[in-house]
Amino acid sequence: MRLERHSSNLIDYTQPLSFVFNNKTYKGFKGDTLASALIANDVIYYARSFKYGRKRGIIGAGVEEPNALVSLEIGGRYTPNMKATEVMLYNGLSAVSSSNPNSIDFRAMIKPLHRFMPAGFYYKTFIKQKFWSIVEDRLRSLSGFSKAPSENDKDVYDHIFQHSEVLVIGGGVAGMSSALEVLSKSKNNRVILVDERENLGGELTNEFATDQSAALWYQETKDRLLEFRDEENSRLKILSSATAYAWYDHNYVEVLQTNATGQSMTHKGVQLARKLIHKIRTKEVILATGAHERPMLFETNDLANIMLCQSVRRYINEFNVVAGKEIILYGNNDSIYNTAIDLINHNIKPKVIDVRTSGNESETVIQAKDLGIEVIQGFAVRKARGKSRITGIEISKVEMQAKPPHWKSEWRMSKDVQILSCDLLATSGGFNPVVHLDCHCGGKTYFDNNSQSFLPQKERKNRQVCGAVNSIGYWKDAIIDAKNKAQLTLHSLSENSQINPQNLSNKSLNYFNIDHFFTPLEILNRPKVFIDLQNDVTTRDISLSISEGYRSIEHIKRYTAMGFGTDQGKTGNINGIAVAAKFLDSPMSEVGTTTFRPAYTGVDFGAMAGREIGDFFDPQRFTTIHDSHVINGAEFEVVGQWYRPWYYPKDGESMDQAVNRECRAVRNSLGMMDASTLGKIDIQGEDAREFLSRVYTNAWMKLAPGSCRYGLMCNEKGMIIDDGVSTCINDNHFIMTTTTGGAASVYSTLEMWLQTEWSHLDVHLSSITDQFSTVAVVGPNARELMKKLCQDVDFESQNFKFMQWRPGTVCGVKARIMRISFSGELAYEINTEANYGRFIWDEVAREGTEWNITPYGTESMHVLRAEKGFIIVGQDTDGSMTPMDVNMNWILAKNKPFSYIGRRSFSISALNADDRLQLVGLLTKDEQFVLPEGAHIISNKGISIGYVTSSYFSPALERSIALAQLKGGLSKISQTVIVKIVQEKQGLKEVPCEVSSSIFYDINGEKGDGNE
Amino acid sequence: MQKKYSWYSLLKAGLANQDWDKAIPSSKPKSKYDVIIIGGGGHGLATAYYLAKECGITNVAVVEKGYIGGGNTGRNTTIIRSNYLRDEASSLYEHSMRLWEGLSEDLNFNVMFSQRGVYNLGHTLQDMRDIERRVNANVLNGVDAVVVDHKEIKEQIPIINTSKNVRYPIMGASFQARAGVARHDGVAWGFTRAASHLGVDIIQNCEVIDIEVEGGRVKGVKTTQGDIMADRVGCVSAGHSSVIARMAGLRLPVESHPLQAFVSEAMKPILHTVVMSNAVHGYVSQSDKGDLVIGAGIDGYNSYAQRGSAKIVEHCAAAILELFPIFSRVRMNRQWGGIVDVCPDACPVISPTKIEGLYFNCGWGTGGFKATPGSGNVFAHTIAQDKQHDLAVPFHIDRFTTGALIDEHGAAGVAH
Amino acid sequence: MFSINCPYCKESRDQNEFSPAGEAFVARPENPEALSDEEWADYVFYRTNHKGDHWEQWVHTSGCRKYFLVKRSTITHEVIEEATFAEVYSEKIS
Repeated sequence: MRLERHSSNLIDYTQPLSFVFNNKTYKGFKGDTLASALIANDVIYYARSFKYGRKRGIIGAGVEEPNALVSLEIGGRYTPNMKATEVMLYNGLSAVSSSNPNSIDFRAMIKPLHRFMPAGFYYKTFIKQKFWSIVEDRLRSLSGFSKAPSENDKDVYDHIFQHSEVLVIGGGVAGMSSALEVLSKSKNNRVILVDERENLGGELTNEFATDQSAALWYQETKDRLLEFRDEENSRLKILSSATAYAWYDHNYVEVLQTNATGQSMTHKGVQLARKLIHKIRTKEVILATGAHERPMLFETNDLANIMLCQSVRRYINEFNVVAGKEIILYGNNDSIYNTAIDLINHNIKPKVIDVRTSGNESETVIQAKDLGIEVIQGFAVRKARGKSRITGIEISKVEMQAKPPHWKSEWRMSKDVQILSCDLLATSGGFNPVVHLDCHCGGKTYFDNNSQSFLPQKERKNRQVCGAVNSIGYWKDAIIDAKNKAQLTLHSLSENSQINPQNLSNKSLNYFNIDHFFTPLEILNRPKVFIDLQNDVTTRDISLSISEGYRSIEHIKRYTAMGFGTDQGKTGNINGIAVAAKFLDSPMSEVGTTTFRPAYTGVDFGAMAGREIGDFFDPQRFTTIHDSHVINGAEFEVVGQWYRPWYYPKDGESMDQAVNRECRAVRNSLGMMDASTLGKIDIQGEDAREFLSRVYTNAWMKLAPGSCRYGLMCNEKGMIIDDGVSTCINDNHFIMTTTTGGAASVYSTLEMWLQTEWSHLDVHLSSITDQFSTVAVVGPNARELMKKLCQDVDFESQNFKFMQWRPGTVCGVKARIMRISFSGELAYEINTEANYGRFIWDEVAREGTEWNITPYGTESMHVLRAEKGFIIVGQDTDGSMTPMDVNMNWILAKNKPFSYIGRRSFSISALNADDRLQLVGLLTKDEQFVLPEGAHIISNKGISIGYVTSSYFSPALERSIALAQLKGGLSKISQTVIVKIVQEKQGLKEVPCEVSSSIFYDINGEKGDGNE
Repeated sequence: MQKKYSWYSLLKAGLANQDWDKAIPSSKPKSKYDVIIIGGGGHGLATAYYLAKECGITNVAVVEKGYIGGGNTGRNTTIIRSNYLRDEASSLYEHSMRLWEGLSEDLNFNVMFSQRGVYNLGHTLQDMRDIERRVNANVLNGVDAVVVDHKEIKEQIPIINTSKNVRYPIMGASFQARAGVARHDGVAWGFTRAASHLGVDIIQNCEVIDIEVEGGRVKGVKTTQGDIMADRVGCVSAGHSSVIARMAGLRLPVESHPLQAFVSEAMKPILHTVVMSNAVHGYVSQSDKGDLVIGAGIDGYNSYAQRGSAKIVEHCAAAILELFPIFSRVRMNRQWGGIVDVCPDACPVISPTKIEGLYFNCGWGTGGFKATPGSGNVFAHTIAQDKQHDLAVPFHIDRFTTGALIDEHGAAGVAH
Repeated sequence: MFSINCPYCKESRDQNEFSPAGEAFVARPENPEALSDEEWADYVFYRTNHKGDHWEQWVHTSGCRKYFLVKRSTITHEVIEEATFAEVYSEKIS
């Protein structure tokens, strides 16, 4: 219900909002969370638990909430598994429970069987594989929370890089204070202050009602921070609604900022990011992440309306709502009294049950008693009463032994039971410092006896902790602690050599000074004492796990699924560790924690990906001629990041028809191709020749300027990694071409050799792939066309020979013309500055019409080269082929003084085995049958002895041709082998083939000179 | 005698306060064993189990520096398949697959092996050529495999994006129906329980700090729980193989790298199979709990810390969204890293060493989990007979000297 | 996500700008032909893979494209030192 006295300044009562939850319409106000608005509307049940399908209420007020999971909105803004406590209310919001508490639930129906289904149940059942495969899908349908989304996301996400000297994580009293201290005590340091809530202040707002000075401090500090933020050349960024969720190496922290939960956001017509990831690199981190309260343990502690004490307090103070009228507060520290006092101030009279016996009371306890609050000291709750929601509690007197004879018997409980009625129970078992982030990247925790919790390790390079995460409970001490830590931070930045730490007051351990954390075995051995509410892990599950030998805390976690939920065990895990310690009879410090990993709170996949999806997933590379290919109707093939024309279908041609036409044009008259994507590396320096000799297998010392040469490149394993033609511009200048896909890796490999091994060589490399455009003019009429296009070069065969190049002017553009061929036809490659590419292409096309010049794509290129037996590295070789394997011994220089890359490996035994896969040609006996690529050649025993790497129908030969890797293939020329087609879709059959040379067409190389 | 898991025992235990025997015993080391296995991960535990079960060697200790199954066994994406390219690899993985198919019964422990099939997607023409080659090789080797086109993929996985207008359109895939996933912790626990039932000592929190070698023969190990003697020592310490090797004065052809994975929050079942894409760098399945289990790529630098770079994980999320755009508003719940030992040919070493009695099983890279039973099985025989199991022969460490590499990533398309 | 100080650019930049390039000081043998197969395999395939502070090569891929050396802990990922080859080798010699 909403409280009558409105004290919150976070709720804007002038802005009522309407929303729908589980198909019912409710009212709330701006400033509400979905949770607070539902509490205001007296909603009790929010969802069901994972394993047993138990109806659950809300227990928390923030990201620690394990129960109240909802699905938000529908369609392209449907969001699964939102915690009602983290959803800010907006008008028209629509949500449903992730697992409906009001409908019939199978898991809940089989309640009598729950006793047979403890932790580890499934490891012991359905052991027969067949049985398991049948039941598994049934079981799956019971699991999970929200349904998965069914439509594409309508929103966008973004990443932003940030840099700071100091990153303050947490905008509560400690964070605010330390940020301000750093800013005001230094001139140049940039500060980023991050907080998960919409407003700064954290838990301090809870103090306002009872402590005027807190409100004053807050206002003043906030104003001063805002001044810093808003000044010119501001050094402060405040990121609110922003959660630091991961801390990576070298002080790199990722922060997820949420702009809204479900609303569409556009600004001036531009769609704004729903969420932003701030990627922050900082020199120093000040960790002021606060603490989460943990619940007390007792039987059926999972009933609805059993909440965390501090959450109840926050709901009262921030949202003016409370979930009950007859309220009992139960715990082991002073926070229960603070909440009680706040309730009294709203005319609700609670009862307080303190497990601590009387004596040594703090001011807060005395104050509460003075206000007339009924305080029952030295009692513990045994059990919550009620079916699905709490109606009362059973309590018994407890005794602590000051010096227990043995660690585990410090508690005693009397057998007498009293019953108290209530409709809301708020508990506090102490506070867990939020150490998660600090542990993502190597930080350790230690167990602190005072607070019975794990604290961040004291000293860590470039990091300070202050406030509640440092177990400072009293807000004024948090300020002192924060200022001290700010000084240390500045000192670490060498800004300030003087450190004058102030002392903390004797109230500093407020909330954190608890000795009575543990619960007696009488309670822990009862059923239904829940540790992890989301996954229904009970104390008995932990006990069972330990008795079965799963004793490591990681085993316990994994066996029981404790902490696996969307809350990652923020409230439950420490209790679980305490319970495990109890059953293991060893101290909590030895039991230790499970590993803290990112993300602190969930991060949308969309946010993780940011803009790098769709077109931006990977760069797309287009040649300068690309638009012309599009106009020509090309289909494209992606090679590396490049979009290369695959074939150019005309008038509804199939691919085969188009390729057939293109190939014939090249063989019979003239074709043209965009070869700009081949990698090009400019190599200059006095030792350029020596360098080429080292990285290629063949000789380069005598290649004359004006000439080109094909080279084959291996790695040190002796395997082919790339090939291409290099051109000698002059004695100190070469241009290497690489395969399209291999360009980047070849370039970096060459740089690696040069820089790490051969830095004494005078060689300089530049990648010039993008700087040049290459149009290949290919076919018997190529010379005629070139003569038309270029007047200042002598194209006569004897003057411009195969494997030579000439500088010239093509259509008025300076060009390097290479006479090289990947098809066996007469061919020239016109290289110009890239920006002229489209112009040259269009001119070539126009001038070539008299020979019916035909653009062709990669598919025809593949056919044409296969006819000539030229390999494609990566298709006919696979990283395990040597030059000898592809029958290219001729390219291995014998007398180079330097042992070129890969050469030494050629002599090791396996590379000389007789049964290596070797590249050969295959001619099907049925000339019309085209072998499927990837089909295997089998021995007479039916095992694979090779496979088809390339296979085409050759228009020139009017028959099928194929290249294959065949074991010992080079000694099997002319033999018949069987290719076995084993896929039904391809038609099961055995295809007899003749092993042939891999050169099929123009075997004697007579065509290379074109038409005379 | 250990209590058998059965409906009867479950019923009895349910009525009698869940009284069970220890599945994981807490043993202290004896001073001498026939065989010591270093490393209480899946492979080490499986080795011990098969030593006891199939080789008659029960005087075996598994020494684990932390808790069993705490390394890569308990932090992988649990994909199991055997559709490898090379005969040597596919034979080994298929051997493993057959063991998986009877493993729960064999161990009397449900490891939740779930044969929901694995798709390896192809996005380019060369991907498809590689897939054809691999599938055909698989069929010839008796490994179930088919090539499916993008339409068939869409029919089986309606939520996948098969649009042609994406950066890397899905052209097709290989599909192995018998492939799937298993519950990783269950595998470690199942082997532990079964092995210790046969007499194997499982010793946790026992770190090996040195290996005793005398005259070229292994004598035993020094540990944080004292010296333990044995004539035969099998090292199965993925992530730390080089460290253990150095104790015996050996070098290995492996490097340790971080490999990352993450899970989403649990949702109702939506993805019923396993989808892997090497081209876009991501693989995903949905666990029985409902969370998406997603594997990312490997970091290029050496590391022994169980964490990697944010960029790798973020790129992987982008890759998953390329395949499944509807997951954009699904949240990553938890992310972690493991250390994988990578061999230059992406295949493991299962081998004797220069030191008599010292054997190594390492270098599984990103793909070790699926091999767990098979690896343990052939390694057990290799140790027991002091002679490599037939299926392990190609994985001898000498292949790096002779050049007889089994180059899986050469053409496999998928090296995971 | 490392922050690496390129010894050429003299600026700390995000790891994304760099690529790791393997263990450092794996020198290519001067005369490979004179090596035994074992020695050659050791150079090509075997690595120290050190756990602890180790020298490795990085290249400033999206920057100056220079290869350089980084001494980094493979346990904590802390970078101890970045240096050019010249700097390290001159130190080694002196």
